[in-house]
Amino acid sequence: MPPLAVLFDPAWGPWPVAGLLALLGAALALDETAFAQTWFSQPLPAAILAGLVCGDPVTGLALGLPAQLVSLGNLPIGQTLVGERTSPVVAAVGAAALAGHRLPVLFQGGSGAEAGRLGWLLLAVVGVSLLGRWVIRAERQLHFRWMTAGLRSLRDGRLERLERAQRLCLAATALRGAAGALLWLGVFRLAWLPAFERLPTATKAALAVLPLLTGPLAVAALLELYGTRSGLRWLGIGLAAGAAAAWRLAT
Amino acid sequence: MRAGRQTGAAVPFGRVFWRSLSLQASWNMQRMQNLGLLFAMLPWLRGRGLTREETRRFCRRHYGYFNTNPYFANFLLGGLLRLEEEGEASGESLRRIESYKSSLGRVLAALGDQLFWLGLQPAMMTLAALAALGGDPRLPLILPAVFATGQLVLRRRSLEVGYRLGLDMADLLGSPGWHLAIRIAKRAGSLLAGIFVGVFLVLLVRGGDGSLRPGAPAAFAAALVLCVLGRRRLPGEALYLLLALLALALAHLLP
Repeated sequence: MPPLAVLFDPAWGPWPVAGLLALLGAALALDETAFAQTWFSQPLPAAILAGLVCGDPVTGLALGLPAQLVSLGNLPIGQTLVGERTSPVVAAVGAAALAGHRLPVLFQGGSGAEAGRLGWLLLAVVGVSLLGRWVIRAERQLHFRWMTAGLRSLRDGRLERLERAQRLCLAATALRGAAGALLWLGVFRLAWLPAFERLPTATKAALAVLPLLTGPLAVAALLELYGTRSGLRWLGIGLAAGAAAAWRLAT
Repeated sequence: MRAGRQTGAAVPFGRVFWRSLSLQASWNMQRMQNLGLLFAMLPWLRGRGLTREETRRFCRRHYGYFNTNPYFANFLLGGLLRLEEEGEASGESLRRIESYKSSLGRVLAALGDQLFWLGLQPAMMTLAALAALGGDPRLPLILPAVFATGQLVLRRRSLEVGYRLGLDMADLLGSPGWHLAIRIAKRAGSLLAGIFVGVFLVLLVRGGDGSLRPGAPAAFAAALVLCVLGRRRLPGEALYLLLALLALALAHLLP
């Protein structure tokens, strides 16, 4: 028996997977703002990694794609806060996979109910990501407090205090990622997903369309980035080539 | 060009590099990356055998405001170690170090933000989204893996390059290669953005089952106008929530 298989033994319940998702949340939170910044913490790769942990990378892809499109224009330049995207994405993929839902990828079909569930989960991810801006701001206030504590080293020359302050900051970020992933996993799995079943049919049908709205949002962000004269020329060339190739493939 | 000094054997580049990866970990509104910078320099500082007073002065010099792009920061970090060594040896004015840190930091921040945040990241994530539209989860993972490898190699090498060049970093920054790289990244981003729009529109019109939906472009255009207007004031997430509320309200109001 492979060593990791024991983690997926039904006798253990959802706890081993939840633990792995918490670890992933911690690692991705560090990657997003604190350590290395490799872009694995972008919503799409993060969701696929969460899907891999749960044994269903396609559900990760299904949720990660619209989440990525929503935040395509959120760039961490200077003091800009881009939201806390990783833990809600990891938690939502985990909640869907643990509940046995297979979310459909945009334009790849899937049942109406699952498409509606994707829209419902996406709403939650986006809302939590937006709220996460305040969490990150609070964490940065904490950084400031620890940094000012390090000022005492400028008087007594003790370097360990500076190292402790930096390690505290790293630990706080990892804790935010792990705790956020676990908290939202519980909320999404126990409250948000069951609430979908009680929604009116018209709302469920409308929710199925919501992931498609991420397309124009992404295009608006890209236009803002590349809407210069030379950028528009390349954008136009790409549009013609992309549309022609996609049309040809579709027919 | 000054003659390159054959020193650096005593610089623990490996440990400084690993610590430099957490440059942003203690980011704060007031002094930004100051603690991260000092944390990265400590392995080098410990090996210098400085007196307590010299250590205090060193910490004071580098605990003030500091901010630059994290992917290019090691050019500056390496250069600072070199200048600190030279300052110790010659007793030259330490004001030079301060001016080097602030001016180079600003230039590297501008170049790095243009190249990484405004060029490569949107381009790479648009490419990943395009691959994801095809339903394949591999490419969206391969792209960050390639980027991670490249940027880690860059950050490791730039530490030694910065140390070797010291003040001569200004020559390196004057190279037209930086602007060429930024232009290529932005053009690639524009092209990929166009391809993404084209593919998305065709998929929207054809539908998942291949049936034609002639009203889709009009709906897309209406949503796009709202997004373009809204993006001036709202972050993407807030705009999405507003659009979602509008769509849900319309679904209930329209027959």
